[in-house]
Amino acid sequence: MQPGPRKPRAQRARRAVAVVSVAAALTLGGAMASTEGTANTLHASAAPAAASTSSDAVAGPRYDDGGGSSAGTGSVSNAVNSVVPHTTTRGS
Amino acid sequence: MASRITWYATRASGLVAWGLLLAAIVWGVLLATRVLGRRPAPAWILSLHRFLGGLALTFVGVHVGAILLDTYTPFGVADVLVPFHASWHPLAVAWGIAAMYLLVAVEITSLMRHRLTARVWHSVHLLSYLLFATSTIHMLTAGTDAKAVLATSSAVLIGVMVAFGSAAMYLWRSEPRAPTPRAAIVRR
Repeated sequence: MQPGPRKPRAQRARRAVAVVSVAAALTLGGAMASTEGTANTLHASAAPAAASTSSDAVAGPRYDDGGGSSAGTGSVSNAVNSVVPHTTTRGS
Repeated sequence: MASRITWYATRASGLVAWGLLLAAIVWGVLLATRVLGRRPAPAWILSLHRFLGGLALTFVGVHVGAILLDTYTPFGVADVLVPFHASWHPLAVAWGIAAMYLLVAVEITSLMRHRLTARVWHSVHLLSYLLFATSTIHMLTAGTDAKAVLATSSAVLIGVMVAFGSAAMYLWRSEPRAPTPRAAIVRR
């Protein structure tokens, strides 16, 4: 006589799994964004030394940073991305 | 920052999809071995097992869709459907494509289970282990985050899963023989 509780329990479990999954994805994405944003900021402060090198040498590899949107920042952006692991791996 | 959202979505959804695959396989092992007995009803475990598989497929869809929308990496439709077509880490991407096809095959055969023989369905379903292996290789070789954080944790998780599965299989196979003599006595 207890067919009722079983279905809501399964539905609750499904809903919990879905919520946890979406929350995990958002948390991971946010953590990636904040970590890489911090890394870029930290490296950007040290970038002038690296940026003083030839821009041809920095942008030499075919993959460089892959960022068309960062063209305006020039060699500083490339120097930063040559140091940060994630963005380097991304374009390699 | 806004231009990188799709890239973060790609990475995050891929990691979550891998976790959901792992959970679905663990739930499948729990269901097949019945190691937990009848306390969580098998129907409940089966329901969650199916949902985890479907959710994993959904996150794989998000993963693929986000990489297609990403303007930073030049991925086209053929790159995500045809192995070794992509110029970016072709082997690593090919592992992911193989895993995606295996997941689709497992899901479709599960949805069509009533139209298939048990043997065919079970044979395809066993490919889930290969699916998990290929997706793990894809994550470790193509994933930019795996080497930093998840390599060790995934290895630990796999080890725990294998140990748990082995123990569950052992318990399951040694358990059913016990009630038999009692049943024989009752019949006499």
